[in-house]
Amino acid sequence: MTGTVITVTSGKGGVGKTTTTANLCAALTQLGQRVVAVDADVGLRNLDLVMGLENRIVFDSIDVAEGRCTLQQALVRDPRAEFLYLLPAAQTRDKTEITPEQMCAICKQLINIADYVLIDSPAGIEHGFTTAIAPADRVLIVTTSDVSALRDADKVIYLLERDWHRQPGLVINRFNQRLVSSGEMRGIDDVLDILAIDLMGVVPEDERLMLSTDRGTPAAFDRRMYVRRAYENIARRVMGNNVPLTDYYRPGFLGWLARLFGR
Amino acid sequence: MSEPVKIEERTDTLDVADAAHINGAAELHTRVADLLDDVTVVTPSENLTAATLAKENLHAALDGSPAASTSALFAPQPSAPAVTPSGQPDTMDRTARTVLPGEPLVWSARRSTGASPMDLPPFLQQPSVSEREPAPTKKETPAPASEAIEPQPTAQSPTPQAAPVQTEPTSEAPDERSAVVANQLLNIRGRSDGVAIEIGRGAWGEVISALKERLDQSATFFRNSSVALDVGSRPVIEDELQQFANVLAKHEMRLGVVRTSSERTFQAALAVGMTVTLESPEGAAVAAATTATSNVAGRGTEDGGYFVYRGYLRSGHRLRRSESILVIGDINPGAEVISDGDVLVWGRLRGIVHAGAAGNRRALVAALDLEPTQMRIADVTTIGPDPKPGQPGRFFWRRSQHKRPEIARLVQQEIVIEEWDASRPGGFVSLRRGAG
Repeated sequence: MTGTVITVTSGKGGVGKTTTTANLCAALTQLGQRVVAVDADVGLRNLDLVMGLENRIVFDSIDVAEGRCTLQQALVRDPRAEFLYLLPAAQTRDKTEITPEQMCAICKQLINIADYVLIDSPAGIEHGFTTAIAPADRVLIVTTSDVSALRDADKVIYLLERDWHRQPGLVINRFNQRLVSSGEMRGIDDVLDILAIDLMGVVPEDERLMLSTDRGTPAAFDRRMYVRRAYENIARRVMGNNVPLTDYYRPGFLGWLARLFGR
Repeated sequence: MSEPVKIEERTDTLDVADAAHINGAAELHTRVADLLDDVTVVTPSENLTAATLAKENLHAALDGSPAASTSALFAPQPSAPAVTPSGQPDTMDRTARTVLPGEPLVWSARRSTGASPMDLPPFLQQPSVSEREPAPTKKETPAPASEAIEPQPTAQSPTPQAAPVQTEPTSEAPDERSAVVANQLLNIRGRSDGVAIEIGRGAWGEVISALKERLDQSATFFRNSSVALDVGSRPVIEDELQQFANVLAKHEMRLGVVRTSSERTFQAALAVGMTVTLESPEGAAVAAATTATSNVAGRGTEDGGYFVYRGYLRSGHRLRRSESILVIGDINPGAEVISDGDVLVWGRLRGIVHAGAAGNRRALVAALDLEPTQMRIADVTTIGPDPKPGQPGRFFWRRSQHKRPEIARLVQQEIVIEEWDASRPGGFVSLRRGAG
């Protein structure tokens, strides 16, 4: 039995790689999958905070790579889920201290116990990016719909196609339907028009999502959060199910009337 | 003239082959038929790309690496390659594609074997069998009634120097191609319609002196014949071609056609006014130009070679060619396309484009949707318009609404963009004539 290694990357920082990774892990475990989250952002680790597992960390991925502990010792179990583990990154070390080969070796062991291994990639396209991409079977690119994020995502897609021959999937994060409806922001179609890759899902902008990452509770665990549905849909698409895209267009009163009368 | 010609010290297999060639003797063909089975043709699908190889090594290294032994995890470590997360099955799938998206058509076969000829200095380049045009000799010469000949529908050029018996080490780094690379300087063979000369490896000066020597020995035989010169993938510059033609002229021969699979040579032959055919490494003719159509030297850049790129040009991608560029796909913001000739885009142009980079002021830029970040023609630069207040974001990210194809050119120091008039007779060519 082997699992799938999925790397979540973006190029630009701050678009929501870590949040997406944490929530996608949570959503996948809720769908009955066995998941391991790997933080590849050595030196600037965040995934443990977002998942709320910071105080449980004893060893990290560099300890595993350098043989100071076993992989089993380094994995941190998430008590909220049935099978969700985190392999944290070192906060005190540097990105160059773990090589792509070591990352591949770790992931090769992890896929024996998990259905999905999600790697949270650091921002940028340098060594850390290479380390995160090397073991990946699939790549998810997270982007918001602003120009700088799109430009960086475009570059990352180019690098993936050129150096790794990967066709990544796209997650559009912080999607604001209100701005799109008023014509001030690019819509989903415009983003896909530029990037021309498969869309894996759209996460609407939600202020409470920021609060949930701050509290260390992935939104996918919180049944009161509407945005949980978006991550659940992405997780289902990752698992190969065909889930229709949620339409975030909310008609006004006149639009609601028009829809009522079948227009 | 049937005596063996000594060119260099490596002559053991050469003598027989050469003598046979010059005589057109039947025994050569039996040899050739024997050899055909042993010639290995390097196809792009057999060569893993660099990234794939790196990845392969990565996974291969895992089984024995110290990192892998740090912990025996919950399950024992399977070493079968099928279990690697992304190694084998993916690799098979990737290498099965001969042309990757975004890989140029003309160069597809060569890029995967390593560096393209453009990157290598001429002396490092070796023509491989797969890059040479198929020699038409087998069909044109009367087939000798020999029992050794088998019908070979794929006429890969079976040069006698590709003999497997030849074990002599070559000076270049040994790879799988070096076994079939031409070891001779040149190879002359008689054909029903003239003389075919194939150029092998070696410095051009040596080639010329070898040619002189060979022609001196058999001058009367070749007199008044038309020569088809096949330079394979070797880049040959204008002066070298001219030198070659001069030697031929001195021996009362004329250069009929130049065959090449190198873009550089193609342009050079056009520039000195020769009839030239550009062939892809597989042997199919990609472009042909004669002196009749390229009446002005230098027009070759405009009318002759087109570099075809198929796929997306994404942010960070830089495409620089000396010939005109045809992009079938989109050019995204952040990408750069630079050509000494025209740039034609069958798609959206939103990156930076520079046509006529070598100073050709008659170069054109045309696209189905022309919205470049910045456009340069020769030495004139223009930038795209600023976004209108009501529109979302920067102009170049806007989704086009019913755009018409547009064409940009220089008119008196200014780049003029006009909508393409579909009713204009003569199309693209007529516009060029009017420009300037």
